[in-house]
Amino acid sequence: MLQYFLKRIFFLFIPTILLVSVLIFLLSYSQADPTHSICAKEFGSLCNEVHKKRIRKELRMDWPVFYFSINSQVYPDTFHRIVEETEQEPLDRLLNQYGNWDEISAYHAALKSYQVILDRPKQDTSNHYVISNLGSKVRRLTLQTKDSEILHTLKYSKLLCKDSSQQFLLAGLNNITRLYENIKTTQTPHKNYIPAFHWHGSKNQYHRWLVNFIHLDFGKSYLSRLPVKTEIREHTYWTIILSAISIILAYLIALPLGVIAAIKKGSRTDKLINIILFALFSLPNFWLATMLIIFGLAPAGGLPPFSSELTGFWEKFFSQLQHLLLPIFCWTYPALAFLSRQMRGSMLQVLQQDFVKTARAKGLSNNVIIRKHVFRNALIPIITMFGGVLPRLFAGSIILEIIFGIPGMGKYLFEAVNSHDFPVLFAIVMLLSILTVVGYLISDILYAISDPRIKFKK
Amino acid sequence: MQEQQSYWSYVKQQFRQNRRAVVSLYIVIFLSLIGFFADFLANDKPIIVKHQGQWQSPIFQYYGDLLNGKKTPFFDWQNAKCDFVIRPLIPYHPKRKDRINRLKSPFSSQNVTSFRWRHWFGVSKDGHDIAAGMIHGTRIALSVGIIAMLIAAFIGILLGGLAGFFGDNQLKTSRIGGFIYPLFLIIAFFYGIYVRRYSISDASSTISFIGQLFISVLIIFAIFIIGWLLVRLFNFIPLFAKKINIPLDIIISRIIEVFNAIPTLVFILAFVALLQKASIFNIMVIIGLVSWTAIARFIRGELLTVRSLPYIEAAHALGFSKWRVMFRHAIPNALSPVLITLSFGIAASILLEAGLSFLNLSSTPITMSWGGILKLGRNSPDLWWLTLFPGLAIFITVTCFNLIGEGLTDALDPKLKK
Repeated sequence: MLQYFLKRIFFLFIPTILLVSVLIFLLSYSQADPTHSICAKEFGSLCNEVHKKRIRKELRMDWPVFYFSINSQVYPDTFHRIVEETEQEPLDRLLNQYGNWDEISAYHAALKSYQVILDRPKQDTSNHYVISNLGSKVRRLTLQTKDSEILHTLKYSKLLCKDSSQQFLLAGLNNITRLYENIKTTQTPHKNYIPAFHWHGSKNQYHRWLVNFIHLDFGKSYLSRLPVKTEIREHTYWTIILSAISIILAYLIALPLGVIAAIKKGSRTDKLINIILFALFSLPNFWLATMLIIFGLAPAGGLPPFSSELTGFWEKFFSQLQHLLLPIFCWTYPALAFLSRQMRGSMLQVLQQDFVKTARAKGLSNNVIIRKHVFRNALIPIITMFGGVLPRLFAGSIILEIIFGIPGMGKYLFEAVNSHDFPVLFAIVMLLSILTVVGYLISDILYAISDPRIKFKK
Repeated sequence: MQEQQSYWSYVKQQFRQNRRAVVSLYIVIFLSLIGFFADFLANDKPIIVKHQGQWQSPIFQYYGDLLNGKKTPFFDWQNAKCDFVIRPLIPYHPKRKDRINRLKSPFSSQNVTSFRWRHWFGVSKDGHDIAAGMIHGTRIALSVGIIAMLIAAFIGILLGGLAGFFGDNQLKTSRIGGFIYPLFLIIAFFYGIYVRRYSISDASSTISFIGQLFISVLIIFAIFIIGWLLVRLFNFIPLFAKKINIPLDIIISRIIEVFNAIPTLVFILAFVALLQKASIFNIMVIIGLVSWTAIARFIRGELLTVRSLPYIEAAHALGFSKWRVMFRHAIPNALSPVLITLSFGIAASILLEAGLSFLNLSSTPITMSWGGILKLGRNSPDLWWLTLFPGLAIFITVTCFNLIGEGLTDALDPKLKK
């Protein structure tokens, strides 16, 4: 059996986790550039290009994303170093149209240096209007990729310069026009159709993230700039308490209910239990939670901060209990409904089996049959379900935590999603998938323990 | 053929005996009709109108504009003087605001000219009619549920069928095929999608977008045909023609495990985070992409037993190709349990969509989806009608689909045969 589990860990769980990590990481590649929001968060209105550059460096945004990339021949193998989205997309489109990187980069560089000239503070203010107008035109040029649009902007920029006395502005524009025409005359769009394979080695963003993750370094949150690890630790507190209580409650109530319903199959009790459970099963718990708050049964404000006098865990717990009752109720009942229906079905299935008939024929009392033969066997599928509980324990319920204002994992995850806080998102998704996979393993073990006939060989 | 018909008529007969399930089915059909004709049931545009001596039908004009990718200019039909007019049952649209009546409960006195203009389900803070929102919400909820599950069923049946029917050692290809097909998959992606990414994403209207996608599909198809011809060609060389196994079951089971390893809602949220705000179409696709695994596992398990049945062997013996046996003979006989999963899956998708709208992660106008109206109600706890009606609607719809699923489970269970 040990061999079986080792096999499962090495050939199933580790590849699965790696695949999940690649999937999640590559999905994030289409994210918006986080630099601006981080910079605004850290430096406020003082944020400038130098800060942004530093943040990009810290996030290794100039590194390639994955171990290799497949694109077309037109891309230089350092294209990933252009990180600014507003810069990358127009260049990418130009490449897609004309396919000659050297000329396009020359044109782009000329535009950039021209912008620097325009941005330089001037002594005489006579040309102020022309220069600021020209500045906005050139900025537009850096974003434009359609031939007609670029020619149009160039034409009007030149008209602007005609009026001004400074000839070097016109010269610069002429230079840009020449470079642009150069792109068009030497275009090689067919190169777009030749695939190219680039190998980047281990110096890439995914590798760095994975290695850090294995060392339990989840990075810093984009939003709060605090380590994700400590934030996760803080947020798991209430989630685990609530989930644990509700899962235990659900099992404690669901099993007897399912057994009663199964024993009295077809009776009025069974029908009543069935209808109630079915209704609960389809009742969206976020709706019920909102209704409870609206009709004044629950404090909507959420958990108040702890007063410092309370020290022990239980004291804290009881002081919060009135706030926790309704969340626990809303948390428990869907699982309760699901579990008791499963238990009932499983009991009914076992009751049909031949060994129950044998036990009856032996003259055992109904009580003994149910307790010793049926219940134990019916428990097997329920026990195996316990493995699925592990991720739930940690994930909490996003909607309920938001409704009741509980500062738990669900709320944390939701905030991360809303603010595109990818380090947090990755960490949570990865931890949850690891827990899910571990849950499968626990299910297997529980299955083997609860049913001695099962021997894992494979 | 005769046998199959009698099986389905047997299932029908079993299903009819379950009264709750039958009633649920009728409710669902009724709701689908409401959803389908939502524009004709709740709209500020009249169905038929004689305006300034001209007969016109603003709703159909709106549809025409939609097809052409044009925006219909706003016209205040509600206060327009018309010679003759047939208005929808609820003469409001969930996106338009009533500027006079705001924050009115269904029972309070409303400042309307006649009962025809009354807000039967109340008005939101900004003057949105809730009845209209509920009707359009039906459309959103049902279309998300059904289309998401159709996507899931398509992926699930295809992958689960492949895994179950071929297992690990039934699908064989030649050595060169094992090399050329994966290579051509990458090439097809390169020429079909990567090279054409800007032509696809820059498409100005829906029709040209579909056109561009169609061209991409054609390119991919053509590349695969070239690959197939190449494989045929190389197969003449004995060294390349040696057969190798494709362990389909292992590959597909692994994919299923990857998808199962991420909790559904978290997975969906991670997708949504990348999309900024998810459109209704995105939500359908995401839910479909996340929930196909249950169907795939069902079909796989079913086919593992079906594939060793005598009639499949007979089909093989008759010389049908493996693909034909799989799609024409094996899968149709494994489909019935999928119906159960589909029906429970629709219920779950409706709940998910409501949850996403409730969390304000969907770009559907908030007053047009049940979850969105619930969200409005959460922000203002004393407006009970904003919470009660959409919640009830979700509850009823979800219950109906669950009951249908239950009924199907009983009807399809051979153990219950009398």
